[in-house]
Amino acid sequence: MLLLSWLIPGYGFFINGRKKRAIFFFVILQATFLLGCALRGSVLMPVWNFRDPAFNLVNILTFLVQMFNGGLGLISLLPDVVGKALALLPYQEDYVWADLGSFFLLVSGGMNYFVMVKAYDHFYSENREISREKAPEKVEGDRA
Amino acid sequence: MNTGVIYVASLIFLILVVCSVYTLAGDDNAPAGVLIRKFFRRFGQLAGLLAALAVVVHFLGIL
Repeated sequence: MLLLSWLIPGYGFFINGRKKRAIFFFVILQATFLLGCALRGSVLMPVWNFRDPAFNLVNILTFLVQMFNGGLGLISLLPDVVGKALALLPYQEDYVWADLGSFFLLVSGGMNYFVMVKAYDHFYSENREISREKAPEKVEGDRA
Repeated sequence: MNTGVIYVASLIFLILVVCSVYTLAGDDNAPAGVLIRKFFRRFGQLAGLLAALAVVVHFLGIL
């Protein structure tokens, strides 16, 4: 379930009967990712070797979060890893809006991580029945 | 297009995405009314926080 939720945002909610919610997650997260791609943002493979002068921890963390939107993340990563012949999505690192586009990808990946974790929490974790029973009371009193 | 317009539009869109997904994924059993109220409260909190940060950055830029 987690693997498919990683590849397809909202899958975990879909197979557990929350279909409208799952479709909403899929549409909004993929739209955010594709908007980022339209701004020429792309997932770039960071430099992993800390001895390399181009090593940057922020780039690594950005890459990890962006890759939480698995399906489109892998497609966006293709030109940087395999070659520009496989650039299915817009790809131009030096475009004026590329950084803003990458931020859209970051938000999409981060929110898909949250959706994945919450799907597991709601439907597969050990205390899921307790959380389902207590949720309405908690909601009434929760002002956060 | 104006740079500022694109940044502000992006900011509002991303806040909408974050708040809607966070609310719908986090509160699985809440009724629709509660979800909508929570969504608007979170949207206001996040937009307010970012606006306050923008003001701080603006004045830091003047200094």
